[in-house]
This record gives sequence, structure tokens and C-alpha cells, in this order.
Amino acid sequence: MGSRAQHGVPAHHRRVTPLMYAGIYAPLVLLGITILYPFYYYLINSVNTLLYSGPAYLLPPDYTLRNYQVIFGNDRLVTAFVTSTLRTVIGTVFTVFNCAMCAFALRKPNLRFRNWYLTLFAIPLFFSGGLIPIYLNFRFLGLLDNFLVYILPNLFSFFYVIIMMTSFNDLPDSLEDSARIDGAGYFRIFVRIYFPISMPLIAAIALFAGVAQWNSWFDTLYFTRSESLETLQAVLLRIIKQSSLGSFLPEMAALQDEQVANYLNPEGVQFATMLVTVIPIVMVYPFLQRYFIKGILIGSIKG
Amino acid sequence: MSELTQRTLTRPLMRRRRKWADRGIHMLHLMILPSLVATILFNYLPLYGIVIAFKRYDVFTGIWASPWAFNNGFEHFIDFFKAPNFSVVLRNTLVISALKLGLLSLPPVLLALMLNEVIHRGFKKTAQTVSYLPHFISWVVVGGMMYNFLRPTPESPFNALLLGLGLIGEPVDLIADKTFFWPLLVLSDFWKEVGWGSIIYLAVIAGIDQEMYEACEIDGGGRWTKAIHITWPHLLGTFMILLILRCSQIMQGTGDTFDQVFVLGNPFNRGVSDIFDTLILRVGLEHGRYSYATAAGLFKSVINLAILLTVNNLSKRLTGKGLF
Repeated sequence: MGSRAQHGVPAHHRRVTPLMYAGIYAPLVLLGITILYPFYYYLINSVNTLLYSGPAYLLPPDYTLRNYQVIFGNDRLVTAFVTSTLRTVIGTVFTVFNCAMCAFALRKPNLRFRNWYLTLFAIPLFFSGGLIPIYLNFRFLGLLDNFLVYILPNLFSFFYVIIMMTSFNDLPDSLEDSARIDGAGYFRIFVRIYFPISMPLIAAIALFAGVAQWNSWFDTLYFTRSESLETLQAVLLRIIKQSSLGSFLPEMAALQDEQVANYLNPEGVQFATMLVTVIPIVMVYPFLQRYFIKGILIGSIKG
Repeated sequence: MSELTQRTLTRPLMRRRRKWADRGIHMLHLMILPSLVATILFNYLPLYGIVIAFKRYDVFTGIWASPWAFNNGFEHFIDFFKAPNFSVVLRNTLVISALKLGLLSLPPVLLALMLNEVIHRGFKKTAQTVSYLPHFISWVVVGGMMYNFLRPTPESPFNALLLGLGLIGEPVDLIADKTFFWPLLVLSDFWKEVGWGSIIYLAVIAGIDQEMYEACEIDGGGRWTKAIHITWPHLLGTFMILLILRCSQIMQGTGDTFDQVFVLGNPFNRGVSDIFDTLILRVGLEHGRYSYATAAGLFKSVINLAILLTVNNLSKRLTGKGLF
């Protein structure tokens, strides 16, 4: 018994040597601090009353929510927030459902034309038309300055389909067979059985697709013109690139004199905007973490 | 008798079964249709637009009616290769790719190996959650953070730290400084993606047969021996596939280089920050020279494809692993 236990659990796997602290734990802690500190710095300085006289590094001298009031009182930023949310929700729902449906059908090894489909889907991974042909194509299809440019081109992702295909294949065939004997068609089997039973995987793919939508800025900058289609990332990019808020927050210019009195600072508004952009992701992603690790595992084994 | 019953029993069943199968097949093709249409519309239809690389494209004349370019249609390619910024852009793209390939391929493996040695489960989980976080943040936000942290004022965190430590006499401007631009790209990419990159290796490590480690221990192998002789060989296949994939992006600086360079680039550092994609964007969409930019893009795509095929073949010959 004793010797078996020794072999089963390596002795040094239970012991932390000083060398391990120095070589493994310390670098990991350091990495963690460098990752978390910027977020913390933004958090404290977005509420820092005295930001105009220099940022706080550890704790702000005094708190104010004035910067957040400015953001949520600004029409342009609120519109951008709504547009970002809309494209994320609508885009994610359609992408995930479409990819899952496609994966469900492609999973059948004896499906006619299956290899044709797979080849057709795989080729664009290795060769693309390039930016200008894509732009001209969007113009031809009437997608320029159209909300659909956020949704339709992202409807299909072969990467998501491969992950879901392999995951569906791991489900027992009897699941489908029994439903078919009951007279259910494939679409019904997919909607009623495969889709709900794969919820953890669907959640992981939804996270990927959702983050991609939320973080996207290029399409807003180059394929849209209207202010109503402007997203949060695009506004933020413009603020950062121009490093001035004046043109984006007309109120800011008017508030120049008021600044010190109301503890308002352009940089503080920028910090707050960035945090508002980041917070939805930080709130959602840790809860979906275990699902996407599983998803990647499946993808890595087969891919 | 038994044969007869079997016949009478199975025949209608089989007929019905075939009917289901037929109906099902149609439905399956229908379920693929939206993806098929999307792929054709957004991936194959644009390929037709490539033809303007060989034409003198005019927006009002249209793709079909625009006249062919000079020099047998290769006018724009020749102009592109002769342009003074071609060598600059080529150098920047290749150097950034080489730096990232060389310096950022191995850290995720090391991180995975380190996390694998961590005994405290809570610590490990926290370390993982924290290290994956930046992957989900856009380069717009990360770039903004870099601007704020590296701002050339004595109050910016970076300068305040260095001034406090007495390492510099006056504030420095790293983003505008050409010397530090490439290291900044590599470091920020490391910061953002190292955790995410380690997931795949952790997944492979989790699948390694534990008996191999036990056998190694019986033979007197320690932590290092096991990592080098058991874990690393298991990770090699995944490592090679990811390396091939990254090599196929050499002409776009690998990974998210475009986002990085777009956010951090400015007229001051253009000499080191301009890559093919930013050039194509500027010349094409901002200056309206569609044909020229398409030619540049096609050149990039073709080289990328060639590199992918070469590296894939090479890898198959050397390690037996490849994409296809």
C-alpha cells in the first residue's frame, strides 16, 4: 500500500520548495500584478477627484462619479453604447445559431457533397481577396453604412463550426436515432436535442463571438459613416488617436471653466469611457471560463 | 416461416426509414445553406475584385469596363515594388514578424509548464483567470492604456516609476521613440496573449498519460527530466501547428499586429510602424488608389500562401506534423 501511494502521487508534487516559490510562484504573481494594475489604475483615476493635479497610483485622495455622469449624459456615447450592445447581441445570436446548425449538418459522415462543403469552407482560411476587393464587394451588396455590415459578414466562422462539429460527434448516436423513430426531422432534432444539450459549448462559442463583436472597430471606421452606427470602440479609438475630447464631447469645451470646480477632467472621462468598454467583458468572462477551456480542448485534439 | 415474418416485418419499416432519411438529407442541406450563401457572398465574391489589381480601375466606369493597366497589367505591381516606402514596409513587416515568432512562440509553453507545476489549486485557477483576461480586451483599450502609462509627462506611471527609482533624469516618450517601438509591440503582445496562448498547451498536458511520469520517477527522473523528456515531446505537435499557422501570417506581422500598429502608429513613428496592411488601408481607402492597393494586397496574400505551403511541407518532412 505504502509504496503504491508513493508511486501514485509523486512525492515532490506535494511539497513546495523555495526554488519553486522563486522560479514559479513569484513570476506568476508578478505577471498577475502587471495585468491587473492597469485596470486598477483606470478604476481609481476614473473616480479621482484630484486627477487634474496628477494621477493616483495606489489610492485616490477623494472620490467622485462626475466622470461617469458625463459619459451617460452624452448622447453620442450613449448611442455608441446602444449600437455596440445591439450588434453584440444580434450578431452573437445569429452567428452561434447558424454555426451550430451548419456543424450539426456537416457532422454526418455520409452526407452528400460533404467534402465539397468542407473544401469550400476551408479555402478562405488560406487565401482572401484583400481589403479593397472586400470593400468594393460590400459596396456592391449595399452593406456600406448599413447595420447589417456588422451581422451578415460574421454569420459564418469555420473555426466555430469545427469546434461544434467535433463536440456534436461526441454525443451518442442513440440520441438521434430514438428521436428519428419518433418521427422527428433533423431540424427538430437539432433545435430540441442537440442545441440545448450542448449549452456549455454554445456558451463558450457565444463568448468568443460576442467578444469579437463588442471589440470590433475596423468595420465601424471604414464601412460606416452615420453617427447612429458608431460603436463604443470606434469612439474610444478616435478619442485616443486625437487625444482630445473636445470634438467628441461638445460639452467638454463648454465645461472648461467648470472643470476645477466640479472636479471634471478630460482624462478622467477617457478613463471612465475605457472602463465602461471593458466592464461587460470582465463581468461575463470568468463565469464562462471553464466552458471555453473545454471548447479549446476539443478543437485542439481534432484540429 | 420465420423468414416470411421477418420480410413482412422489415419491408415497411425499411421503406419508412428510407423516407425519413430522404427528408432528413434535404433538411441537412438546407441547414448548411445560410453558411454556404454567406461564404460565397463574403469570401468568394470579393475574389472577382482582385482583377482590378491588373486594371486602371475607375469607380464610375466599374470593374468590368475599366481599361487594363500598362506593362501587361502589372503596372501597379511594378509601381509598388519601385515605391520608396516598399522597402520600409517590407522591412517593418518582416522584422515585427520575426521578433514575434522568435520571442513569443515559446512563452505560452513555459507558462503552461509553470502553471502545471503549481500545487495550490486556488492559486492556479486565479493565475489562469487573470492571465486570460487581457485576451478579451480590444487593442483599442490596450493601446489607450499604453498611451496613458507611457505618456511623456513626469506623472505617467511609467515615467513616475523610473524617475522615482532614479533611472532617468527626465521623462521619456517611448511610443514616439523609434528605438522602442518594436520592443513595445512585442512586450504588449506578450502581456495580452501569453495567458491565452497557454490554454491549448495546458489542455494537451492534461491529456498526457500519468503512468509515463510515474515510470520516469521510478527511473529517478526529477521535475526537469519529466518536463523535457515527457511533457515537451507531447507539446511539440501543437507547437509546430501553431508555428505553421503563425508563419502563414508573416506578411501581416502575425496575430493582431495590424490592430496594434493602427492604434499605436502615428506620423512620428511611421518609419518603423508602417506595415503592408496599414499602407494598403491608407493608400486604398483613404487616398482612393484602389488598383494600387489591391495589387499590394494580392502580393501579400500570394506570399503568405506560398510561405504556408513551404513551411507545412518542411514541418511534415522534419517532424511528421503538418496542417494538411
